[in-house]
Amino acid sequence: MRRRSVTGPILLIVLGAAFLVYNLRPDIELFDLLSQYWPFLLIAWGSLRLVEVMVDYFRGSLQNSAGFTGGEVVLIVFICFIGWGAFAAHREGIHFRPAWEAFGEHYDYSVGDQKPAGNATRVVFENNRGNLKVIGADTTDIKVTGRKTVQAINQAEADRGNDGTPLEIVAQGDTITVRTNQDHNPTRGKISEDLEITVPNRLNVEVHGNNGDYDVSEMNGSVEVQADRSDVRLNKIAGNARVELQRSDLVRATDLKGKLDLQGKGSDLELESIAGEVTINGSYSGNLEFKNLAKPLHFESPNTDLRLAALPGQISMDLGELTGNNLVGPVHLVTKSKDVKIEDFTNSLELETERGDIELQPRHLPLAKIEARSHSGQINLVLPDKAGFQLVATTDHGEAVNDFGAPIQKATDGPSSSLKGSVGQGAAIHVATERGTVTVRKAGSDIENPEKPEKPEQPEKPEKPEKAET
Amino acid sequence: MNANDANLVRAVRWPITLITLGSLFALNNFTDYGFHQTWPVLLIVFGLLSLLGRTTVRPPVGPPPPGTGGVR
Repeated sequence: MRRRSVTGPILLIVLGAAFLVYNLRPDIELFDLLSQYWPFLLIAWGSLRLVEVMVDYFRGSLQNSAGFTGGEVVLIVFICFIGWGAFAAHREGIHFRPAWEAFGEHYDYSVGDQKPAGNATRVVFENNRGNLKVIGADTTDIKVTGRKTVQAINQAEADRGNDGTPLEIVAQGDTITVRTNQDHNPTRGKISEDLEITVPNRLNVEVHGNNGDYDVSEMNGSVEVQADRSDVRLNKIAGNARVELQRSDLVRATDLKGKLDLQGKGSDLELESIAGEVTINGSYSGNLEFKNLAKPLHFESPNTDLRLAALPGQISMDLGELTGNNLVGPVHLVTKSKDVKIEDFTNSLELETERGDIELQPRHLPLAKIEARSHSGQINLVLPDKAGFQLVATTDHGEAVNDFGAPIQKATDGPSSSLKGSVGQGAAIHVATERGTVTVRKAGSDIENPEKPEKPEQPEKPEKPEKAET
Repeated sequence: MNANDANLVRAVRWPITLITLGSLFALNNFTDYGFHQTWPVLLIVFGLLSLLGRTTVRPPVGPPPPGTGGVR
């Protein structure tokens, strides 16, 4: 007779204990812990079987068929898959809550507090979930008003959640912390707080949170925002600004007097009237608008590297296109697959795109030095009438079209063509494409948008898979 | 060196594999060594256990015919 394994009963005991903990200590996030520590269940199970086997062996009653049953193997595979997925989700910041907790009612509470800022130089906001609106003013007090939403199955539970998460304004040294204490929630319901805060505008502002929109305006100090998932709007900030986000739908910064440093992933980006240097390092999949930047811009993403000295005009960019107007060079742009259209730029332009058309229309005299290359795409060059330049425009596979006139000579050699010519003493203009038509024409001529010839076939070379991010 | 030993090796094979599996996933969750890197350890452990089974196993009666010493 085969002795039955003790695994079954022990599993029941562990399950019972787990649910007991879950019911009695809601502050322990059992499911979250389980998503990390589940491999130890396998280890414990294996150890248990090992002990069983040893005990049987020393008793001399070891059975021939002490392997695992098919059911057990299926269960182990199942646990591995679920555990793997749960851990992946945990790492992505998704915290598990059982489905039945998604229900319940929302209970609202109004929150508010006021405290003098004293000699503090820094104010820190800690709000895990919810929106913040911070407004600087000519005042001495920090004043918080807002609303707290507690998710709970009944009023008593909601009250318990509310009481356990008091809003605090704590002064310590030169720092004042405004804390919503959502992580001290004694219940399992979600809590989120939307707050409007007026602070003395001389302070430096720091915002930490997980999920919520942050709106900071009219501050004379610096601003720093760090969040997992949030939209950020900055307006009229005199100090430097630094924004670090894991994910966002929109980041907007307008009227900044200081530097802006932006990091992370997101979608849309709107920057306007920024007096300081702008550094962006991240990936953005939506529309990007830059307008009126007085100091150098450095934008770096997995697909695009853009540097320029200043931007009196504007640049808009999305995944497939970049258009710019009135750029102060030296401009440096390397991008993987974008159509690029730049009107009016100074000093020099260095441009390289792997796949995409290029249209350049310098208006500023004397002309900027141009070095533009596309691996696959047509190039349109529109030059002012009176400009002086030394032009070399080539295509390896395609046509060269000269709409400029006399000083430019066309040459064809097999599949490749080129346009060469010089007018007076001027900047060197080198444009080249491996596949596509090269056109040079005079600004103001009537053929504004000549019919685009069919794009040549893409080259057969295997292409690297690209992330769908700008 | 007897049939009971052979049974022991066979019986511990699955528990030990399970412990190894659990350890690899624990490494995956708490260290930089991902399961996608460490999974060959499972093969090695299973192979070692099989090898161990082979060295201990002898047919219960009679000497083995020459040249087939390791057959179970």
